[in-house]
Amino acid sequence: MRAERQQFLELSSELTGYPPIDLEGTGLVDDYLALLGQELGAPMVTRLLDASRDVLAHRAGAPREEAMRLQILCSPVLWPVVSGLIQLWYLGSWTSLSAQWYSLAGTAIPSGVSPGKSRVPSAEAYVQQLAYRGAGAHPPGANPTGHGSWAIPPLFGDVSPAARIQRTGRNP
Amino acid sequence: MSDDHFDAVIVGGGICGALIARMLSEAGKRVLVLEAGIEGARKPANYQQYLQTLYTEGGARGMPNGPYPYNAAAPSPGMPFDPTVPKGYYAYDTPDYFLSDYLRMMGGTTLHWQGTSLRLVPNDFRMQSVYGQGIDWPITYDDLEPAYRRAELEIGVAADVEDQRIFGVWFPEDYVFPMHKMPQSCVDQFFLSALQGKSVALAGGEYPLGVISIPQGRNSAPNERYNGGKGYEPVGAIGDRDSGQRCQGNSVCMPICPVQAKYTALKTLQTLAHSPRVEIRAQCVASRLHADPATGRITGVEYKRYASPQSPEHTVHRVSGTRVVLAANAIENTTLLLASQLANSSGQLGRNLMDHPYLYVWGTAPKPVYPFRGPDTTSGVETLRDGDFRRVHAAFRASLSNWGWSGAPGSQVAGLLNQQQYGKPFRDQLARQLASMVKIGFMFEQLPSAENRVTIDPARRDALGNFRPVLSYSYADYTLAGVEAAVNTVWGAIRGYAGITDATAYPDLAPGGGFNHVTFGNRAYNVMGSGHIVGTHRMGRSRRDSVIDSNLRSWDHDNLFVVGAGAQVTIGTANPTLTTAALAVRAANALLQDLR
Amino acid sequence: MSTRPAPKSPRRASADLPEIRSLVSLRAHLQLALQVEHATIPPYLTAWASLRAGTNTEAVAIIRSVMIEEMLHLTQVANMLNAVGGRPRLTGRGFVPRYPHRLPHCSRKFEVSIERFSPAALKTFMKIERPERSGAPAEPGQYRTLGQFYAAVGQAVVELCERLGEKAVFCGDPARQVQPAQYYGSGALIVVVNQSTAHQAIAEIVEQGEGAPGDIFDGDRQILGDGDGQEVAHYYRFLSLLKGRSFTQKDTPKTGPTGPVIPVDFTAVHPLRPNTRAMDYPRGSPQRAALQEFASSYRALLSALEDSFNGQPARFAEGIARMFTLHRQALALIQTPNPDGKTTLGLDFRGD
Repeated sequence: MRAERQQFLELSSELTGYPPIDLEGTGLVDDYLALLGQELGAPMVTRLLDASRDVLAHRAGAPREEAMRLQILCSPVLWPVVSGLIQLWYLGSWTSLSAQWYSLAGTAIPSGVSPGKSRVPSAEAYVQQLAYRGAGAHPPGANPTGHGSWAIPPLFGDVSPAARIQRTGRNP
Repeated sequence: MSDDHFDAVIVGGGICGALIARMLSEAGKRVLVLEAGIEGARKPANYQQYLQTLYTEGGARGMPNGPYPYNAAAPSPGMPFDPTVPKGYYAYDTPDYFLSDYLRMMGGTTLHWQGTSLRLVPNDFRMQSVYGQGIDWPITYDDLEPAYRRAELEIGVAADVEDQRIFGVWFPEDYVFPMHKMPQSCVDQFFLSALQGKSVALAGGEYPLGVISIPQGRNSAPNERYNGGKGYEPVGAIGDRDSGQRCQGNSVCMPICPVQAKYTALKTLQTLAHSPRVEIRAQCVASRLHADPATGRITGVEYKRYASPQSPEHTVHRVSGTRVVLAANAIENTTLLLASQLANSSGQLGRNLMDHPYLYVWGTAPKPVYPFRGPDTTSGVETLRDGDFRRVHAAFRASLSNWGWSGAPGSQVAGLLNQQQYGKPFRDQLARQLASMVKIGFMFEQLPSAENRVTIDPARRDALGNFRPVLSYSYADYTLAGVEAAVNTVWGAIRGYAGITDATAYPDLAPGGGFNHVTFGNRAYNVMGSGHIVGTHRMGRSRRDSVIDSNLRSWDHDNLFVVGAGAQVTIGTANPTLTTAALAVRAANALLQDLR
Repeated sequence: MSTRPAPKSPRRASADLPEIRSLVSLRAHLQLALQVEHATIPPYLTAWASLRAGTNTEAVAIIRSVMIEEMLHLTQVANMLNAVGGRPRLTGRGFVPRYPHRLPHCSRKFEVSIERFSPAALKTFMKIERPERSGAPAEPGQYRTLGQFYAAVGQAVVELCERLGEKAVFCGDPARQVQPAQYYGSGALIVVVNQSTAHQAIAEIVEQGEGAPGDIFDGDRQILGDGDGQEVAHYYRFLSLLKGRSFTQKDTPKTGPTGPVIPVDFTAVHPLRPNTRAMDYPRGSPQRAALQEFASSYRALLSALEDSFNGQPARFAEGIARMFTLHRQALALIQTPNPDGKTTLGLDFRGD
């Protein structure tokens, strides 16, 4: 289980461009792994993490990008999953895969899953969505930046003048 | 006085009802407020729950009523949200949909309003005399000025007077607003710099593009000079004073401020919570007024009281008041009076329905401007709210949006995923895209037209058997010519001065998209509503062409006052809430004279 | 402006002369007060942030309210120090203590930790805010409570003004005062320009913390409920969480809280590692970097506040923006698991 969790964390990091410790800081790693299990079934999760292990074993840079392309981006089964996972981290919203996808993947649609339906899995998923962070902003209604903060450039984020993203690779 | 007779019975627990209840009760009068909706957001636990609904279902439930619970017994437009049926509760008689809505709950539409608190400019009151368009009010800006100040106190408006003296808007010499202006955003600063000293050509001349801070009902730093140096204490959240003392930039004013830094009528109602002279009854839908046929006096207000918002079961009750005040908003006031067959000797009841047609333009700034922070809008281009061009087309304001493009960041995430982007490049590109987004909301005046109206139809009722509003509505060329000027000339000029790359598009989508796809000249535009509902029971000089007099008293029933934005004669380019509250102050003063 | 009762004249701490004999010494004491008021903020902030989202809503509100008032006290002390010609310093090396920490003014031996919300943490907080027992004397330089400390400061102000004259004592530039409109939160910030306003400021701080003797209220407005009534002093707010019941207007220290039950779930708390240090993690590890990042963020906050207390009031807004960013960073660290899988990272406010 811990190995699976670790693999999921590393895959999520590779996909989102955020270091694992930042994703841990959302408190949602376990929730999102569990969500994948509920939506895809355990065998598909295993298949995804196996491919991930393989891709991440390649050296970062061109070799890894090529492996990612071959094994995941070009896969009509794995790319939709990975695309959904990126959306989940960035927008706090999961869209169940289509009936066609389940058929193609050879997986039965788990009970409780409505193909094509979008949902926000939890209030915390909404609060922790990553999309706004790079712009030094926040999701509407959560993590406000403070009175008057909008009058000065953001104190965090990838485009903030104060950003030290180049040096630490981390997003404060 | 019997238990169910009051000095004043007020129908509606929104800003007008609350303010009038406050002013009357402070003068010793006994008041009953009948609110059709539930107590709802007044309870802190409910408020928190609505916030959770925003998080988990906001997208699915539509805006701006999304966070609030459905009420089958006192429905509000747009609830439940159905993308195939614009606004649900309304019935439509014309192809253009009236797209503005309101909320029937204690506190009313101020629960979801943006907070913009602009005064009308003097020419808005005399459009016919000055521009040969529309119709003159029976009062002037000068007449309403003291009431504006009382309304600004009640709402708690943040602005600096120095910024606001445009187009003849004046203030007493020593007047300051209760709070200093809201800090202006990086987006504002970008436009301030780009448009400094710039102008644009509209029909009738050259007009400056002035970026001005927007007065808003949202807590900012109190002005120590307010009220002769006594100062002002910001009012925070119900049940948690520390919360909401300042806007903290939650960026979700509409539909709900998480900390209650924004004014809602709940704050006014809160001042009445322990008043022995005010009784507030929720879940009571006024369904009919009764009048003495000989004198025209309103003798009773009949209402339906329901136990559960999910069920049409109700009991019927009747109360009476020395005075009766309708404060249920422009549409509900109208349907109630039409249902009662009262107050309409002029034939104007329900007519002259106006909104501020609204549309967005958007694009990419040449450098980061850091949107998605702060209130939706803290400044606007306000210098096109008046001018000679009003002889031929609508005036408008241009709100600078602090919240990036509509549909962002979801659309941008989808776009990058479509290109199979991921990882650091995805993260960086998304950040850069979002950080440079600018969007402007143009808000246009509409002239009163007898054909834009609210009626009722016995075949179209709600679950309680009350009449649903039937709306006829369309846009006149006067407004659409303003839209054309705004989108083509003004936005074109702004883009040029600021170096913005246009990204505006008006695809023809299904009607549930929340806008009317309108063609004018050689272009199509997606026009929305502003949530401003005005004019349906207007005031006037004469009983022949107006429903109420300049004190908001019905010409036909001397103990009936009909209050709200429906009383406005023209809409100008001011978001109506402040003017509506000022008119309520005017009505309250007249009521107090009556009840002496 | 709220009307407040006439400020009490400061209680004499003892029959002996107080320790503060000069203006320089007064400034040093006020700088120490600044340090003390600050030292309570990281523990409160940590306890507050450790409560799991969506739970313990009353505890969240209560601790937040105390923290906001501590920040008011900090700002108030800065105003006092500026008023007597001092220069508030928040960026000195020792300003942020290493935790566990024994409060500098305090003779009693107890330590304050950076730890999660718990009954033990609440008891520590109560010790910090503990009210003066009536008539309890203070030894010079040895104070049992913050109240006694401030009483000595108040006494010193009286005596120095008698000896040197009020103008000589209150020689600071009034432009350096943080104005009430800039500061928000409960309680009004007092601009200090003379003896009277200095005593008002002290009275406000003491009453918010300990309450007046024998009384649990601090003479101002209610924070719980619907806006009427009076506020409960910090000590009793923590006690109400410990007991799981709120105080009513009729309650006294003897009766204890008899008001509505406050549901408190001590298990709905992130298991953060107490008094964690960035140095506890290997060099180059993401954990060490994250903790140092937090400490650096905290330093930037203190720097902004220091500037705003030293003639650059415009930086106060940046300070506030940094506080909100810091809160988000704190939440992230508090829910980041440690390699042991049992605890979470916690917070390091110093970074060294």
